[in-house]
Amino acid sequence: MNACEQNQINISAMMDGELYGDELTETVQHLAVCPTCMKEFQNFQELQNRVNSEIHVPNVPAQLWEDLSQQVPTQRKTQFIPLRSTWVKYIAAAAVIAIAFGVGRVSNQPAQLPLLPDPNAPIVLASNSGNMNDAQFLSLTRELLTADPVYHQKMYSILEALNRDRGEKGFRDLEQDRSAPPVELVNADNSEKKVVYKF
Amino acid sequence: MIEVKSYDENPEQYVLREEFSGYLQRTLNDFPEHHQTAFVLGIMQKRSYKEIADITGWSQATVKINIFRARKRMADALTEFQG
Repeated sequence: MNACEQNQINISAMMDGELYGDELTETVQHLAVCPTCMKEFQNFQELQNRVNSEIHVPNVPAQLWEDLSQQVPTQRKTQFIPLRSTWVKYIAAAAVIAIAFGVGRVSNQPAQLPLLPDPNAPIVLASNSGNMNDAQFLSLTRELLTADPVYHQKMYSILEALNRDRGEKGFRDLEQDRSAPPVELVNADNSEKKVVYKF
Repeated sequence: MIEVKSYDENPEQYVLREEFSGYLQRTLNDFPEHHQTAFVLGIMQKRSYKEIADITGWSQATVKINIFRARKRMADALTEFQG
């Protein structure tokens, strides 16, 4: 079994939300630099989309989605992500980027709710708290990572930038490094420091 | 195969979906049984690897491999189908 085949097995597992830890990291990194595996990933995505459409439930009237949309809270303009470990911090960046890009993509599909109520809302990585536990967050992230190869590539470029900027320093140093784009320090609610990624 | 009616697709979309549905079914029938099982449980029903392991008696590592093989095989068939 060559390296690419092992990675493609892991890509398959990643799509199923069954890949974790170092294997997930290595697979994501490999995908970003291997056109063969990226092509296979896209083929897998195409297949999954076709299968999903094959067994999808019939679309409901658009009015229903509009009614539901009105019930989605709109006060919350930011997405808070708990950062509990180094890996989660990087995945957090990937996830929020995916959310940011995802808004534009899904909003063109009337049958789906947007992921965030306001596409222009700042995306905030909370430094110490959030509504999701790590398992929920990683599950969301895996879903986002596999949502679309384009998102994936963009996310990976950000992850790479974060890694490069971080070097041997801790994430807190990165937070204090204003030269590391696209990170900007804010004090959003007067209680804690947050890192905001703007797009 | 799960029969699903969609009320919002046009005739062309319906024909294409039906055509793909038939192709999917025929291709799946040619799979070895363990790949059929992996495809249906893992890719169509999206069950967790643990669930599939419990159902089939396979180890989770085997589930992972079988789903990959079934996925790759069907993805290749889809590429061929699309010409």
